[in-house]
Amino acid sequence: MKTTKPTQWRSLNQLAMSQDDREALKNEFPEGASELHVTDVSRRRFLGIMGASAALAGAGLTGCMRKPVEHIVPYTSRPEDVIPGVSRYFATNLWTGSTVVQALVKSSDGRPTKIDGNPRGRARGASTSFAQAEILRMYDPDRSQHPLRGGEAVTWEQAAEGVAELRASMAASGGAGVALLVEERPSPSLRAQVAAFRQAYPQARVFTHDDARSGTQAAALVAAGAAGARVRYDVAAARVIVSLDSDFLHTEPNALQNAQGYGDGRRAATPEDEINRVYAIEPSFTVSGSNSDHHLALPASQVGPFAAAIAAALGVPGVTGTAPAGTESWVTAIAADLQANGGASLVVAGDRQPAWVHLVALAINQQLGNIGTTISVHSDPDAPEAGTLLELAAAIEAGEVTTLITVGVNPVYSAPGSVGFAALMERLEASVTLSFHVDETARASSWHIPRSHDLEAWGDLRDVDGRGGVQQPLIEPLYASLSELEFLDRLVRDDRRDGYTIVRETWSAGVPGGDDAANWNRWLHDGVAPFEATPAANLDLSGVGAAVSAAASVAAPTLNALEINVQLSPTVLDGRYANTAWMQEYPNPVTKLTWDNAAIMSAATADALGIRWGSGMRQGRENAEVLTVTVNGQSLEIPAFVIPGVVDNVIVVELGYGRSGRVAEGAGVDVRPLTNTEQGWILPGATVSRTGRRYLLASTQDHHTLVPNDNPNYARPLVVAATMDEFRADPSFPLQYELMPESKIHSPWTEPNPRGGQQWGMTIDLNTCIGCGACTIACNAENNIPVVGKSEVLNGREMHWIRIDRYFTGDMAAPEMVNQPLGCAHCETAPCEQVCPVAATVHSPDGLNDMVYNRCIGTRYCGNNCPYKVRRFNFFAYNRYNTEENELLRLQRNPDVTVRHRGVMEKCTYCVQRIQAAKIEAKVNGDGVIPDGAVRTACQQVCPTQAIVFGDINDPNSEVSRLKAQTRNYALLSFLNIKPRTTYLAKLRNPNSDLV
Amino acid sequence: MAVIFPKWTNRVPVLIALGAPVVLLGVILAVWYWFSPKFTDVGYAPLQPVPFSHALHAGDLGLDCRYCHNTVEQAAHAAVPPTETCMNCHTQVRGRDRDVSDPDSYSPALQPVADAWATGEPIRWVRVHMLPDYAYFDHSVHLAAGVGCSSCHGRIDTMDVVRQAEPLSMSWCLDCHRNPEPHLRPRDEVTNMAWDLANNDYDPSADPHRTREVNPPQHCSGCHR
Repeated sequence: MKTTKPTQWRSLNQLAMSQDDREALKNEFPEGASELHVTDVSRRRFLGIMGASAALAGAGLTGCMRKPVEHIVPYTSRPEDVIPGVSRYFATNLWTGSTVVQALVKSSDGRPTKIDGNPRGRARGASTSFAQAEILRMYDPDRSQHPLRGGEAVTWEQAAEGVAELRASMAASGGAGVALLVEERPSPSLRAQVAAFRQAYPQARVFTHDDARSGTQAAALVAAGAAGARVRYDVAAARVIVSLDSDFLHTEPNALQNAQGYGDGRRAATPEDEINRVYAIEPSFTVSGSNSDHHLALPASQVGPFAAAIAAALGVPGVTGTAPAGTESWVTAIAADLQANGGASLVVAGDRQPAWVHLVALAINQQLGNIGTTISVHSDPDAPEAGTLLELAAAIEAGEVTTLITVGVNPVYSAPGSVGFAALMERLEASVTLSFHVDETARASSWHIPRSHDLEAWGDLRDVDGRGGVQQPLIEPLYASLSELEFLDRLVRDDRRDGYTIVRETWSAGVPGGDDAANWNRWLHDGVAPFEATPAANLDLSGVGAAVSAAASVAAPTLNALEINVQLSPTVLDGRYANTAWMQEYPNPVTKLTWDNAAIMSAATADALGIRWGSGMRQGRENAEVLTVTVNGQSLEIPAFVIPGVVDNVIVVELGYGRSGRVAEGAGVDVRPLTNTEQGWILPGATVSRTGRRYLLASTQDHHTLVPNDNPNYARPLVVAATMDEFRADPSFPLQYELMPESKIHSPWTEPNPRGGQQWGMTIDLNTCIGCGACTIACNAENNIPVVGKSEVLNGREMHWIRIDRYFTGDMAAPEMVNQPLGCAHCETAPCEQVCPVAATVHSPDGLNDMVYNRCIGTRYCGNNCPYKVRRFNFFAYNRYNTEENELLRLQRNPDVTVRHRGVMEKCTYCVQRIQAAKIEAKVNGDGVIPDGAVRTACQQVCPTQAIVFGDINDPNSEVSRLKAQTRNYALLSFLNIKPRTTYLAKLRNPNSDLV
Repeated sequence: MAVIFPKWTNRVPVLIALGAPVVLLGVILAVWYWFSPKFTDVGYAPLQPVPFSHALHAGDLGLDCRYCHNTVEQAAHAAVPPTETCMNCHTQVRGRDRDVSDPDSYSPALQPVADAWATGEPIRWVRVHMLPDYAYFDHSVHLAAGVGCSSCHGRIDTMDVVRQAEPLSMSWCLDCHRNPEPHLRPRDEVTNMAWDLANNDYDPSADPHRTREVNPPQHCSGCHR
């Protein structure tokens, strides 16, 4: 990337702006949106203008109505370690996104309110956006509350009778005709329960499935003689990483570990440091691809031949392959780079790729000597011997299975479309589903039992790399429900054991030292158990050459035979978060779409197909054309969306949409019916026709655009980046982008400059930030940020206090994508503070820009003045609407943060509630000085790569001071002389000089 | 031309010009005092479900505040004690005017407490000192600084029914936050209700037991989060 006059633009709309659009850009909100009219009320119930009026507070009166009566209701008998109002923290282990997350959950007055990483865990206290969303998922009002028989609610006694009958009939027949489909969860207790089930019913068959995985990697391992094994990466040990269509930093399993390793390998304090190099070969940008040094857009079907070509170039025995047209130089360069870094390189293949590509990736790793260093293939000796979902489908088809028990899997929604699992379920005599929602499979079952959330149930997790521990509940199940352990227990025994008993039994029997109460208490307290990694599995990759030759070659897509590439959604994943409002409103890191999925394609493809796209600078109101996409006889209607970086003639679609529930209803389209068992997620030969209808898509990509001057092609980039060579040549390269050197910036007046005591500041390292948006969700959870719904997002009114700005830069045909998290920068001479007529936003002596909700009268002048556009206004009583939709939300809210009403401004506060808590703690128990690291803002705490660092800039030894002293440090829009306390560390690229 | 208005109406504008400012001033002063927390909140003494007398327990019996409000040094809330704390004594102290013939009886005043203990249903006390939800007050840091209980809550040890003694308005809080020294007492005297704030020679800056300077927040985020 060149450093002279680079351009960074938010979207193709911005690039194609007319003069009128440029004027429109200066408005913070689209036309008409800042007035008090509401456009589309019907679609989203969050916008209940006719909402209930405020409730009266308290019923009792004391004679004259001087003030409302509030009651204090203490415990009758207060538990020993409970202090009302003081939150406690419990360690647990959660299974989210096919990843073991070692978590520390905050419990406020007995209810869990925030999930964070366990500092004792291997992630060093970090977690993921999916782990953050789990807390809201637990409080989902649409979660199942009653057992159902044939769709009708029944009592638990009746359900228990039904289970007892099932038990009796299975005992009589030994389980003949019965199949148990259980989720793939590395839980020792779950496996013990499955084993007990097997032992009780020897004729029954067991199948496992992970809804969020395609199964191709598992199939590859079977072919390599390592059935049931698991692949784990040590990304930190890799100097060169080649991603073959893999979103390994965000949606692939163990993304947390991968991201952490990526961050460790990317961090550079001085020019002498070495950083890793990432190549990404994928049809469109993913979170991982946006962090690559070299991005090659190839249709997913061509990634396999590309990989084979690399393998051939590296001399993997038996593999021959030609690179897809035009990619030969890439193959040569990548192969050379991998060769030079044997043992410290890593090739990963994504879940979308067929099994043979995974074999090729493993073979390349083996050839380079990476197995055991950057990639480990662990055996999983305790995994139950089980069939796959496709084998179950075949068994039902053949009539071998007549009763299906489903635990934690949603096959009707997650099976490939060609399987037609819903129809298969109708053939069954009986079916029982244990699930959290009354999901697609539960609706098709004769019985449904509500499942407890992982935060409400006992369990355990043990990953093959040794990560894991006990899963303990934070609260009794909100509604009567069973955990998967308890349910399986009731299928085998009649003594109705609870999860705790089952887990203790597993640990006493199976974990060395587990029968000792002292050990158990310590492991339970710490959340970490002394598990070791399982032994490596033996890989037999001798058949990889044959697999490559046997693989059906797929022609590159053309305009008449487009290719559909299906992938998991980076926001709702496989659909499990479709009813979790935060995740629907969380802008897709790549497309910035909210509340919908779309048919994503390149501008050239859209133009060639005659699709009209791009609505000018309407700031998020993409009036998209609805297309009918047809492939293999399956069609569906989906709106089109154009972003840069997509390869031509490919349409990328995301799974996880088209579900039901008060949040998920109407959000997007279920694309699973397009998939089939042979082709998986890569579907060539598709055609597209225009329906002529339009559909409004809410994209945040043009919201809150920073336009420092009239020129959108701002020559000075907002995300400053340089290559490693440029960094070494000029370590202070960010200075060349300063509009004015600091020495020349003079203020006409004396500036108040608080400098005493502790002064707070923050740095965000753009080099390690992967743009996953976990910070946005963590901030939502910590600060009671409301969800506004699609129609308000169309008006630009989403309420995220920290957002990720995404820019494309470079050649429009092959752009680079960069991310920049932006929350309130707490400027020392904040323009917002100058203009508030009622002094609702003022500066604290420790450097924070305070927002005082009770003074704010809603002028919005501060939001107008903010150059970063980070202030959010409550145009309506969003928080009240949220509670009206979901009463359980009150339980999730953080009691330490005010819940804002209509008419007040809000913005990032540097987690002032955490700062004050630490200050109080320091004053009560110490000398009033907060030690470095005692305050971690929510965004800092969650970040998997630890890109955000917060602390005392007056302390030269604090981490943030050391980072701000680095030469890569720069401030956004520094020429405005507002002196923001949040500064950035410029991004570094590590390109291969052979591939420029 | 005809005379429309009688002569006395000539005085009306003058009266309005003189009287309106006076009336306006009166209204302003009336609102200033009678609508301020000094009038609306001070003296608020709601009826409680149990006629618990601080004058008896904290005053005559000399119980320390922290015996019941035992979270006040570690937490933001000075929690109203659980029923169990009452029963520490009242399993045996059953009240003077009880039915002596029945060994299990309680006096009418204590009966609600005994019932709460027996059934597990908590006692719904009426809150006296109410701050708005957006003001986050922390007791522990005030005690650590040496602010006595009576400074804000008055002579609770003389109250049969708790009444709010101070306005607890933001300006009242800031009066101390801007100049804390006169309101501080030695840290081991915080629960000593009788300690005389006005006439003493206590100098916080010279107190050897203090490890740090008292620096109360005067900025908004000190209390508003």
